[in-house]
Amino acid sequence: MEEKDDVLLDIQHLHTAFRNGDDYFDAVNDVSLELHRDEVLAIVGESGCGKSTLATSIIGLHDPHNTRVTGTIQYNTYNLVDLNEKLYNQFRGKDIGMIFQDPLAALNPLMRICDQIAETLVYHTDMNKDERQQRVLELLDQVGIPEPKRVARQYPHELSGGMRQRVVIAIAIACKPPIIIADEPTTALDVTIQAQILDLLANIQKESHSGIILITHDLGVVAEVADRVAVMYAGQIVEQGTVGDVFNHPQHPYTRSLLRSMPQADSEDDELHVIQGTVPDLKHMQIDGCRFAQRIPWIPASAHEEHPSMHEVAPGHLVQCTCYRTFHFEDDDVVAAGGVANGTN
Amino acid sequence: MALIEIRDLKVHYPIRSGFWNRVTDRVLAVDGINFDIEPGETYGLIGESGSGKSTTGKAIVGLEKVTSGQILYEGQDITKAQTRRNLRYNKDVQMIFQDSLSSLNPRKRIADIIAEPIRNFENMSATEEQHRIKELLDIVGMPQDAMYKYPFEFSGGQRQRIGVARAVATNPKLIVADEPVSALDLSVQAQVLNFMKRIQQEYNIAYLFISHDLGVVRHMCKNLASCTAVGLLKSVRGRTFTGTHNIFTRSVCYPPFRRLIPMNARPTANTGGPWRRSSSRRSRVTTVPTGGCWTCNSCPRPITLRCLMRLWRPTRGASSNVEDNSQTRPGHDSANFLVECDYLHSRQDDARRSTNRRDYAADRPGTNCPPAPRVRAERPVVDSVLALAD
Repeated sequence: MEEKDDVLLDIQHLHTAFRNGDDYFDAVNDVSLELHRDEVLAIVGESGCGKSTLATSIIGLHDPHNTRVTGTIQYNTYNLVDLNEKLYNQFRGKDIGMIFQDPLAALNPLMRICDQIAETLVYHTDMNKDERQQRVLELLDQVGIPEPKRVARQYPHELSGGMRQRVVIAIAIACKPPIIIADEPTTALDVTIQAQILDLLANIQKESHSGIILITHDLGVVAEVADRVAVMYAGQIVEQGTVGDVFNHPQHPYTRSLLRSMPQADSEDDELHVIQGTVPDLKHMQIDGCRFAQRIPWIPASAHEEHPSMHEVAPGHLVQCTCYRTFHFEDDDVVAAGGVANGTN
Repeated sequence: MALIEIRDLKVHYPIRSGFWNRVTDRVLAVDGINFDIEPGETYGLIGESGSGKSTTGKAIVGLEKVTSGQILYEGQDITKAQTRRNLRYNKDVQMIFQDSLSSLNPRKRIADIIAEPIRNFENMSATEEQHRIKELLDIVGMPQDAMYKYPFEFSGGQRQRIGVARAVATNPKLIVADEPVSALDLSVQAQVLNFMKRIQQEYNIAYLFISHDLGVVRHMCKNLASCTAVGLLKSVRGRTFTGTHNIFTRSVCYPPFRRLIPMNARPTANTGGPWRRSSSRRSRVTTVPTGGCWTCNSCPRPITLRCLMRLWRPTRGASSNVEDNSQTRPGHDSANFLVECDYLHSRQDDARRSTNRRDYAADRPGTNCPPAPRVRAERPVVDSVLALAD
């Protein structure tokens, strides 16, 4: 699995900084990730953690005047960060497909569905009009839209949310890209449609052996479809590993707090766990030290690293900062929590 | 005595078409549902989008015109605006909306937004009003200077809390919470839910909690009703979640519920419970047949003759013996044909579990669905349908 040619996308030390006046603020801070063929990599975190910024950095949707992207995003022999707009356009759609969160905003309200899907094909293939038409119907059929012929002539406003999301997926997979970025593909949909869309993504992946980056804050979705998980907090990846590792043996305080704040099946009258405070905004983000420290103030400062680095707790399971070793929830018994942490190590 | 009794509530929307714009058809958004809400309890209403949950909620608040049926509040039918005014119903029943931003007037300050119900229903002087607003902001855990801000200055969780503050401003007895947390992050969701529970305990407020997230509903509710495209399917009353807990373990093989649990992999214990993936995918990429049994869609089995039977059965609607059933078996408020479908499905599942499939197939070549064992003989109608199908 760890073979060299298996890696589709290799992100190293990626920084994405937004300009405010003369200063730049890192929304994505030193992120290193690998996406393998045939896997679903989930990126989870609260809103404001930089998940979507990371996605848009990969596909190069940032305005260079107001954003500074540094680091490397290695795809084949190209470093996507260095590409100019014209070159980038050859990758967008063809090699990297993106599924956006809000399907209505992602679709052009004035274009028919068939034209919107065919647009990608016009740029990246040399199909003629009939072939494109054929392919559009094929795609609509593939994403499970009934009566593709009729729907292809319709406009986005005539479709329901689930149907629109399917159209967006159809656009993303039109050129069979090896990398698909799904930015909260199911947040705007209700759970039943969500299950269908996730199934659809899984099927597409099975057919085209692509790598999918799934961005979401729904841990249930992650547990269901993802192979590996990266937990993001305040622009950094705080924990990374396989789904089994991260969910069964969560290490980082943030991951553990998130899992704890889910409504659970066996506790009835208990209060839900709330993580103190909020994700700090970019301006007030501390540059050094563990960024989660201010939301777990009962953990002494000595537990954190001054310059947090990734620690490997199990093969392929990385955790940032040393605070995971001594972390316990505020209301828990310190000794017990320490015992558990030692046990899982 | 129940705070609110819903009796055979129907909300139909007309479909107009043609040159004269005449009513040509109707959308049966809510079609004959029954349930009661007790004071101080949380009543969960779950269902897919488009199943009429929100319409039910709006009808109860009075935002939607009721086609027929009754909503009894203190024994009086409040489907007419005049009765609502006489009973001061509008003061006692408030609503929390799903989309917090669009439910707050962008041109009003928070103080004015929260003060609106107070100004409508209570006779307060300006200073009293100020005092009350501060108190309310305190209840929802917001700083007092928030009252001079505008809605856009707040995050989603804060806005939702402002919505809650507005809803509790008149000391209501019932709050209809229409998906109050579905747009929020996990941690914020936990905050809002905790807080809703707290004010419920403090002020003895009843909630009608509308949601499509079973985990959240389970956390909040004692009683649960599920809403389907046709009406209220099954409401498990007088039972705590130990009864409906089965939904989660899937031992109640109730297809609509299964569809509402997208993920089987919910943590069972604090941070570190066994997460597992569901063994089989329950939903397939298909569309719901119009006018058919939509539970078939989530049915993991291939379409059988029985499933096809259901496609033409719906027109017959609820049979009369269903009413008898609801009387003889307290705890199940309402039922209609879909319950029968559900019943069939669950029986098939029972059969799955109890019958060795290979033995069965050896007995009956050419069939792919084991027969239901003859248990639960209290449903004669279903049995006759089964006999027909066989």
